[in-house]
Amino acid sequence: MKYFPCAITAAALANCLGNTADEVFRNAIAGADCFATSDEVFPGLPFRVPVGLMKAPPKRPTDFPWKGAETRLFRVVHASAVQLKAPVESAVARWGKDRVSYVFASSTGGLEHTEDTVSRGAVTPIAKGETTSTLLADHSMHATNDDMANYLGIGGYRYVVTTACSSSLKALKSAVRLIESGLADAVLVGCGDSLCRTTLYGFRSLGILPDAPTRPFSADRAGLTLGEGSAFVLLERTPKPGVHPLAWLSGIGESSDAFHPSSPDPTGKGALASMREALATAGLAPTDIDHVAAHGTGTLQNDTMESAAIHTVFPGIPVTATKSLTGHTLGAAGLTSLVLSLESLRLQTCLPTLRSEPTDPTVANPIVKTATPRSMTHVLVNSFAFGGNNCSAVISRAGGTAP
Amino acid sequence: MTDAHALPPMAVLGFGFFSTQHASPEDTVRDIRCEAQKPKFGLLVARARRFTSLVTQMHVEVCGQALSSAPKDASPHTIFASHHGELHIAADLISDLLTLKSVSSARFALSVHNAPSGLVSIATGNTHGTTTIAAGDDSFAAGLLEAFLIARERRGLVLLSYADEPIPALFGGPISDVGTGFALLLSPATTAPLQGLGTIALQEHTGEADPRLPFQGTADLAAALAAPRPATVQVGQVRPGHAMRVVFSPT
Repeated sequence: MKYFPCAITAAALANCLGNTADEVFRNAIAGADCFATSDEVFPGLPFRVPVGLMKAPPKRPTDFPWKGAETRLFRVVHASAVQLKAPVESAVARWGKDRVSYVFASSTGGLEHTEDTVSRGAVTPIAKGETTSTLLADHSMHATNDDMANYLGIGGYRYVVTTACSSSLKALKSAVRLIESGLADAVLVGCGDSLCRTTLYGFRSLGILPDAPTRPFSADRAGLTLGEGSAFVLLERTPKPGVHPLAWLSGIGESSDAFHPSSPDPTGKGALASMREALATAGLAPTDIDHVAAHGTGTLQNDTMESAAIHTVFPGIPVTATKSLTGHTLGAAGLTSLVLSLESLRLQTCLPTLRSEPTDPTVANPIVKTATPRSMTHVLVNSFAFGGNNCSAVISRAGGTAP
Repeated sequence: MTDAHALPPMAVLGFGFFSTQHASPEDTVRDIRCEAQKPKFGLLVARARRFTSLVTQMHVEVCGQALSSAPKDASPHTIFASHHGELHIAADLISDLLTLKSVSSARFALSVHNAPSGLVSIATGNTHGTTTIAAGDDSFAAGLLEAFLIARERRGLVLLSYADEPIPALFGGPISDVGTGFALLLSPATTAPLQGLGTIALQEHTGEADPRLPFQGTADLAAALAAPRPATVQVGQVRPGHAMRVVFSPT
């Protein structure tokens, strides 16, 4: 039974670096520091921290019968979805409406909208005989699902994968299962998380949301910077003639730490298992990997564990942490990193890790500090989460045939 | 293959069920009430039980029940499903940050939708992959579909757990005072010795699923498993216009 590769035939991104993939790529290559501060979005917090804030994501068109409210989450997700309207409509035309599915990923769903509604005292009791309310619908993980799928003309299966910060790479695996099983010919995998007060307070309470911007793999790292954003990829079974993949999704590995609800296993066993399974499913050896896009949150616990695990499997391979550019977009983080890696492969250039100097002397692999040309065929992307939930993916450079 | 009909049936090796207001799945189906009860969730050690929500406790409880039928040293891939997830913790965190301007780090760490999945993996030492699915009122149906797909891929045991708790007042609730959990321990029917309770298969039919409270499908299925008796149970829809049913055939 062969699960991989699947063709990645379209991709989109939106985050603090820009509202379109092109804008995001340009700023990422340039190493632009696009962080804002938390008081620009949530005034009145008892702390002021940098955030990866999206600047004026596009408003939704008014000529479509949207069901849900235009929440902050909606605008974050819509910013990527709108970029893929034409490619998805083409896929629907190629495969048929019911043969295209939609798997979405998020960690916080519509939490920001709920915070706002509660803070305004605008909650109304659910009417007798009703089983839900607009607040509940706009709060839930699937809040934007029907609207996005309907807007893009998708008629297949639709659901949400929500495993905190690994959600979007896990959603990618769910999409592969749908294709491999024959239930779908193409799957749009989307993800999105918006900034909200709960995560700002929450990571601050854990002592890993510093006043200064995140510095992954630096000796001076003090924690993460939260961001918001969305990322989408269109996966297709062996593409039809005339459809050229951007890259191949070659393998995905999954594991659990079985260690702690919010801290990674310091031995890195879970991360190692996830990376090794990704290689095995891709049919590749460690030496085939040319670059690693790390989870790289900038917390001492993650970076120490992850850098040691990467060194064990991929000694000497250059490593990038793009959360230094985008902030940690939580459920959208894995796919954001993967789509940035698509551009790395296309340009044959590793993206920079901002503020990583002075590098922690215990980090053995080279950390890419500025955009650096490199010949690359296969890139491994890591995404780890609360609950010890690990996922790693391998993408491969597009060529005439599947790897 | 065109739809879930063609996914191979699965052997049911065990199941777990819990309702806050009912003593059995059959009582849940008939809404025969008992004194309100709490899950024992004995899988978790004392330290890990602190700060857990009712929805997590129900997940852990039904997973423990289902795993009691598992082969020795079984380490299934796990799938957790819930519409609302940690809604009460979210409500508490929002209240605290608006009034106290701070939140509990321990509560925050357990606020994610996949908190039960992490706690069960820790409690059982299970290092296999685990996922968490949400699809509104169709969360159980979507979780079941994912369980079938993972079992097909991995050719091994899977544990599916579904739970939802009553809607808290901060969200305008409650709608119902019933919280329920349901778990299934499944194995590909082609590889497992058919010594379990029977097999389940998925069906999809054109047409919208009938609107029902989400836990009703799980209670219907649990009642059939407990009897055991053949049953066809509607569990929701994972794609528009296609109602999903589970067909249970006892051994």
